[in-house]
Amino acid sequence: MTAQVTSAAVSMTAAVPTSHVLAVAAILIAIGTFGVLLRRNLIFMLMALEVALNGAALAFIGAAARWGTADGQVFVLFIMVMAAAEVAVGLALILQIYRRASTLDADVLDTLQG
Amino acid sequence: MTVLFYASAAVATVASLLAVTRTQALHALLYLVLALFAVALCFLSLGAPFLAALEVIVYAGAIMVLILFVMMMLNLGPESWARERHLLPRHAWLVPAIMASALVLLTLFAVLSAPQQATQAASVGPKAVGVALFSTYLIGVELASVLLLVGLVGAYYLGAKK
Amino acid sequence: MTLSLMVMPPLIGAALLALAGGRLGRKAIAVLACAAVALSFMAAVWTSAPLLATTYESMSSLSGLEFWPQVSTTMEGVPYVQEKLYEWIGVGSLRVNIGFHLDAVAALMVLVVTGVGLLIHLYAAGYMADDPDFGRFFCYMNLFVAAMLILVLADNLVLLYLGWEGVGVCSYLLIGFWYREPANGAAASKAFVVTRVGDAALALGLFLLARDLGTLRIDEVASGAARLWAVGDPTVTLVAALLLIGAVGKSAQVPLQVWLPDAMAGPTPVSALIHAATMVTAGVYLIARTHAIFLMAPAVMAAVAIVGTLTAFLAGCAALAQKDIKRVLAYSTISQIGFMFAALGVGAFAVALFHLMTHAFFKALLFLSAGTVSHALHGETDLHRMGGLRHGRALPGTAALAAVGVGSLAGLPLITSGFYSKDAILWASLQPPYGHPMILAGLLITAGLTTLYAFRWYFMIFSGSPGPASRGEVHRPRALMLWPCVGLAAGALLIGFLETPETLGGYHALGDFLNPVFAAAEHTVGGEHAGFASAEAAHTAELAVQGAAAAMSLIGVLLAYYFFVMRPAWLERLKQGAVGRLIEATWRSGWGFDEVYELVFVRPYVALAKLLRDEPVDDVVDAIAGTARFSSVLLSVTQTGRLRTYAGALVFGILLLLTIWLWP
Repeated sequence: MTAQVTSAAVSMTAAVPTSHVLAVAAILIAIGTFGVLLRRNLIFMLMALEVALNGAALAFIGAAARWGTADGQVFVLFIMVMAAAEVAVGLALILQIYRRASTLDADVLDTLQG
Repeated sequence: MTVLFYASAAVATVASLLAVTRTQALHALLYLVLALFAVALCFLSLGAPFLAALEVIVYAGAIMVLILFVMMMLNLGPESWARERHLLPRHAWLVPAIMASALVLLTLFAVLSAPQQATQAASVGPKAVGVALFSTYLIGVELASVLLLVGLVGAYYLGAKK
Repeated sequence: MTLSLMVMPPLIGAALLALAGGRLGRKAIAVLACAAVALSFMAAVWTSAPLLATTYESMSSLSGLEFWPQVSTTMEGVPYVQEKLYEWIGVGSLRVNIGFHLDAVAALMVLVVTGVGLLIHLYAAGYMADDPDFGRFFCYMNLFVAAMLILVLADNLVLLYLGWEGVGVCSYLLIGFWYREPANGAAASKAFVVTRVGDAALALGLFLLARDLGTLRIDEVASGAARLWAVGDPTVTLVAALLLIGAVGKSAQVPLQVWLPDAMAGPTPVSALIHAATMVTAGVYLIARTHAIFLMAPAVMAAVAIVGTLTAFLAGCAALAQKDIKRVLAYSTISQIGFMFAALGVGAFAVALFHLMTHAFFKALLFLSAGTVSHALHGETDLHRMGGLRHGRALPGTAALAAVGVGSLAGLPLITSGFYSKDAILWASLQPPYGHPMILAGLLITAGLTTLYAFRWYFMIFSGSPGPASRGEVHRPRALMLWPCVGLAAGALLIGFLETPETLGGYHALGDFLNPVFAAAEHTVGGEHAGFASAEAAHTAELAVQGAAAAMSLIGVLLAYYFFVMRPAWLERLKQGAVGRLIEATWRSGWGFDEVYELVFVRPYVALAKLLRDEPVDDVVDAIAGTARFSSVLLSVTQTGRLRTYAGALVFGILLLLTIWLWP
């Protein structure tokens, strides 16, 4: 199965311009940022962050495709690892916040004001 | 492959957009999963099959499920959907939209004004990635495992009921 | 241990009285204080004797004895006695010692200070006998004598300045002796502040000398100044001017004379000792001591003479219009010191010191008599309420003694010492190179005024019909208050014969004693021909001056008798007129100096102090702190504590950076 996919991939020789890949990545990052700024619920913020991270990962893959090396993919792997750790800890924090403040509204949590 | 790329890119964009703008958490999550799948297809079309698979397994499979679990644990009911709608009035969209579009425009300007370069058609298989991981980026691997350990312990401690 | 023997007794006496005065009885205190001054006087005699012996052949037999202190001689042949105690300040090349130097000039001064001081201490033991602060009084008096002796004996200007300040402090303490009365404290402060102006100028002069000459020893200053500066050099003129201002302050000359009339708030012995005989003459002594510098600045010499003459005249007028018994004498002191300054200004330094000596005697006598009168009339000081105290049961002895004093002040011819010293000044004011007929004219007119106000004073107290105060019970003075006055009266009559003019015998005992010190001066007391064409011309001129002075004094007595005894009503009518009232008001207030200073200095200063009372400078500093606080408040608006605000700021920053980087 893997070989078939690979050969199928090789037979398609028309390549995507790198700038287009980066453009898509930029759009995804922008959408993620938009989500972080827009939403007040912490969980939605977290999800928007994931979108942005994906955009970054796509940019790296584009770079890897440009140069034909594995370095970009390795980096995306690391991004994923970091995203996993981040989501885990972030969700644990969200759980704590919900237990203490009974709300997930980020605007309510302003004890550090002043 | 190029067609695949553009198509999945479009799906990813739309799905992401929908994901961040839904009021119901579950809807948003599912749209996000869809977006992740589309991004995985993008990866594939760019010659990164290994990472496409990983994207699906780790990201869509593990991370999103994790968020799902937590959502279930929080057990937010219908009142939460009403509240979410309440939290997204018309005027809240303005500033984020402006900023995000500015960001997009700037980066697009930067990206598209550079000289055009083509990606290579050949895909880089798991073997190459593995070799790179365990030779050049070995330290990174170790650090990543430490990071995961830290995240594990932290999440456990922080999430525990006091 | 020779010269310090003069300074030690009063200093120790003051210390003992300060520490234990409260526990001693009155008799013990008086004995201690007077003994201290007496010891000082004996030490003065002992140390001055060999100096006198070197001058007068009649005393030369003494000089061989081992008993007397060692006399050295300077290069110019001036004999002196020296004692160095220890080095006080040693900075770089500047070496200041606690050292004493006694030459003829200093010998004269210490004999006057200790002699007159002893008599006044004895008088004060009687005068202040009823005062509860007896011990404190004599402590301050002894301290004063010690400080004055330090001033006179100092061999360097810094130690002189120490003595200068010391007498200033004692003056303050003694003027404000009865401190429970606020007016006395105010008078004391006024004296101190006004003399401070002079002291500051003096200090500046000392700084200049130290900077340019590197030394402040008086002999080294004299020689160094001659080496470094030419006559008329701006620096030495400035130094001399600053020294003059210092002298003007301490000696109460125009324009710093305003403190002396108010200083009469102190007890009468204080007025006699400090503000007549000794402290106010410190300025004269200073100029005489530093005559080398003054002789190098002819402009300042002229200023000295002008200041002296002007002050003498203004104060003479003011004395004529006073009605307080002591204020008349205060203005008289100012006027007489003006005479001394005039003498200094024309280069007749020894003559000025001669007048200083005679003035010490008769002015102290007058003050003590005033004290006796006031004491007898239970504290009355208004002249208009006195009168007729000469007769009968009243105060005949005091009247006789006061008559001697007044006569000497007026310079009654031939019999009083004041005549000889004043005449010497008048004669010197004509002589080249510094003499000028205008000075002579001014001094002659003032001499006339002097006689007028002196005898006005005498007649208003002792002659005529008794006033309201005299009719009451008259308190007879104690013996202790009379006999010192007798001693002073003897001096007032006899001291003058130490220096007689050529026309009357030419006995120059004092001149021979003092002149070697002033060898650099252009002319000395009783000089050769005195700048006239020939000896005969000089003789005639001298006779003319003497005749004029004598005539002035005698006419003055007659006029005073006419206006103040026989026809006082005529004078009253004159005073009622507009011009009369104006003149009287001007003269009584001392020509309005107090009012002018009040307007020009005191009011603005008080206004400034009120302005600064709330410390506006603090507000400037507070404003800086306030700005910081305000900006902190402003900036803390950004700390909303909200996640989304921070995220928005982050994104905004990213946009900014991208814009900057991507700018085409």
